[in-house]
Order: sequence, then structure tokens, then C-alpha cells
Amino acid sequence: MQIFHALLRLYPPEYRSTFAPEMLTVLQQASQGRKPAARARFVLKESFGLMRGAVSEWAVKLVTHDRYLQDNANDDMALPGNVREAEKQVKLILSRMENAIATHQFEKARFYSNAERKARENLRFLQGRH
Amino acid sequence: MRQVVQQQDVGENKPLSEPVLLILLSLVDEPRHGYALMKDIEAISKGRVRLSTGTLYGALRRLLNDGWIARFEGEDTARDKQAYKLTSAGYRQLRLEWDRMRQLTRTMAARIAKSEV
Repeated sequence: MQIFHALLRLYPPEYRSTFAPEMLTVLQQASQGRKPAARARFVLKESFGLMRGAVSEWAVKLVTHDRYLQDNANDDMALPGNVREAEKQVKLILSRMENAIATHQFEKARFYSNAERKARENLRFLQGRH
Repeated sequence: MRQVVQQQDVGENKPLSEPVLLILLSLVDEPRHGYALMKDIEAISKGRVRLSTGTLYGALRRLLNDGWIARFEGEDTARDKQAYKLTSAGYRQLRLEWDRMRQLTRTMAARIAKSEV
């Protein structure tokens, strides 16, 4: 488990404080009862997955800045229609930006980052009116 | 205006990635924590998909950000055993994906049947 502890330190601090305890529990549960060869394969696969995950999370954090790890599960029906639409627009652009990052299309990601900033400004303006 | 709305809908209805689809599907019937999700996804896919922990939690973070899933606070929720539940937005996305797949399989069945005649 020490290698997993070490690899989790590669993740952004906010991500680590939110998910690391759960991830360690999952890794511990999943590694139980495996024979040595299967355990070695498991450690290799999970280590690679954690490294790839850390790179991806840093890329998302660098592009999304303060929106990183924003929990958006709210009661959206309580909001006025135009605010809901503006929120949907922000989420849509954010999701496209994350897809662009995941597929290493960084030029596209920068475009979506600018579009997301404008959409968020519009959202703030609409929220201020309500 | 109509055209703009339709284009936006097409963007929102793009296919879900397989890990995302399987996570949403796994949360339809009940909230689950990380390890239960992994095991259920393996069962749903008949052993074909085994998500690594890094992939699973990367997808969970994105789904939380999008508001498609939410943290589920049960009586015994510990910090290291957080459960997740599907939100109404997540359920909507799953229904959209189901519609898209049904439409695709209908077209596929018709074309294959036609080519075999």
C-alpha cells in the first residue's frame, strides 16, 4: 500500500483531501485475497492508473482554476429559467473542455477555457439580477 | 434560433464514455461506494470492464462537477467509504443515452437484415 500512498501524493491537494481516503480503502479492498502474481499485476495496473489520473487531474485543475472540484449537484428547478440555461451552458463548455484535455487537444481546450470564462461572467450577471 | 437550439442538443447528446455509462447504470438502483461500484461494473459488463481506481475516481470527480451524481449521506458514512447516488440530471443523461442506443440498434438491425436478404 505504500506505493499507492506515494502515488496519491502526485494528485492536486484538493483532490487528495477529497478522494484519497476513499481511494486507499478501495485499493485495500481490491487487493485482498490475491495470489502473489495476481497481486503484482494489480499493483502495476493500479499504479499506472494513478499516474495517468494524476496527470489528467493537474491538467484539469490548471485549466479550470477555482472551478476545480466544484460540486454542482443542486436543486436546479428552484432557479429562474435563464439562470438555469446559463448554468447548463457553463457545464456544457466545461465538459467539452475536459474532453479536449483528455484527448490532448490543448488548443481546443484553451478555446473552451475562454468560452467558459465568458459564459461564467454571463451567469454571474444573471445571478446578480435575480 | 431553432437551429441553434438543435445544435446545442446534439452537443449535449453526444455518446457517454463507457466508464461514465457504467457508473451511471450502476447507480440507478441504489447508491454505492467506490469498491461496490467497481464490483458492480465488472458484473454488469460480464467481467469485460475492470476500472482502475484512478479511472473510477477521475470519472466520479467529473460526474460530481457536472451534477450527474451526488454524495449520499447514509447513517454509516465514513470519510473513507463515501457512497454516491444518481441525481435527476444524471438520470436524464442515462435516458438520453438509452434513446440514442435504441435508435442506433434499430438502424443497425434494419441495415444488417437488408444486406442479408
